[in-house]
Amino acid sequence: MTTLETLAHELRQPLSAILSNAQAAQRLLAAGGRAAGEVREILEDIVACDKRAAALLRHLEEALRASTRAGEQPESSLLRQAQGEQV
Amino acid sequence: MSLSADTLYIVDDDAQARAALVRLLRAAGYQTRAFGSASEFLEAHAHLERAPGCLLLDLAMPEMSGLELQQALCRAGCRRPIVFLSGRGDISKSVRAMKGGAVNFLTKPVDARELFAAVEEALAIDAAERSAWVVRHGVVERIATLTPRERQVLGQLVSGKINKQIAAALGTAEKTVKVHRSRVMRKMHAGSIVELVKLASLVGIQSGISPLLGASAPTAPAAVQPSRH
Repeated sequence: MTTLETLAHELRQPLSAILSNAQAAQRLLAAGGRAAGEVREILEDIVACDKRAAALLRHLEEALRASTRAGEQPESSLLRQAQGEQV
Repeated sequence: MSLSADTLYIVDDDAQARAALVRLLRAAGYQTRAFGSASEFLEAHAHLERAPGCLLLDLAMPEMSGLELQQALCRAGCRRPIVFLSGRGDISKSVRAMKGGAVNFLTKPVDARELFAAVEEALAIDAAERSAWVVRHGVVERIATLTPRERQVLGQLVSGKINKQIAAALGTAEKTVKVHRSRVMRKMHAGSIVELVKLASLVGIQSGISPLLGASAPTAPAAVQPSRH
């Protein structure tokens, strides 16, 4: 796998964690009761995951710049991946 | 949501993704057990094979990938249904996963509704396989109570022979065959020949030839060995 592919792939982990965490929190809140403690933990994780995703994006941008400097034209499919597929 | 004792075994090397999955599934009422690597899971699973449930496997893990874990389980005769989670670029891998008995293949990030649907499907398959195994196991146990002679008669009956033919084939009197035949029917809990044939086919006896009918006392042979062992 190229660096770009790896980074794009890696982005899925925090994004996945953010979605599952958020949906878990929605369920906990919908169920009522005292979910505040767990929801607080979930929100902390969402923030951490978001930061991780942002860091990956920075690496991705660097990798893209480096490949452009080297005169390589990233394949369009790779570029799409690097730009983050909308799922 | 699921009210049974089913357990969802989650194997994902990414701690954040794993914790999030566990939270989501628990919030939906599922019982979960999470593992950070395939080997960690395999070690624990050795004691859990008979527990009902399904697997949620991350495809791309260091050391042992999800597919390699699937193959290891396959080799060990474990047919616990698997839901794979992965990035999108793995189409050929996904086909391989499907062939290996995977129930579904989801792309991260996966929506809760999609995840629950896949999990329910996997649990239903697991439950069906388990009850089928119980039935097959019952038939094997009944066959084990037959004498070698009765097993021969069972084989003949299943291949559609009538008493006279069976007597000729086994070199015995038709009257004796009748006695054996009624014992076979009773021990197999079969009310009719049709029922007997059905029971026999459940354990792979179709033409009257099977290691189950061999002269030696039947230990459960590979063909009817519990699928999850």
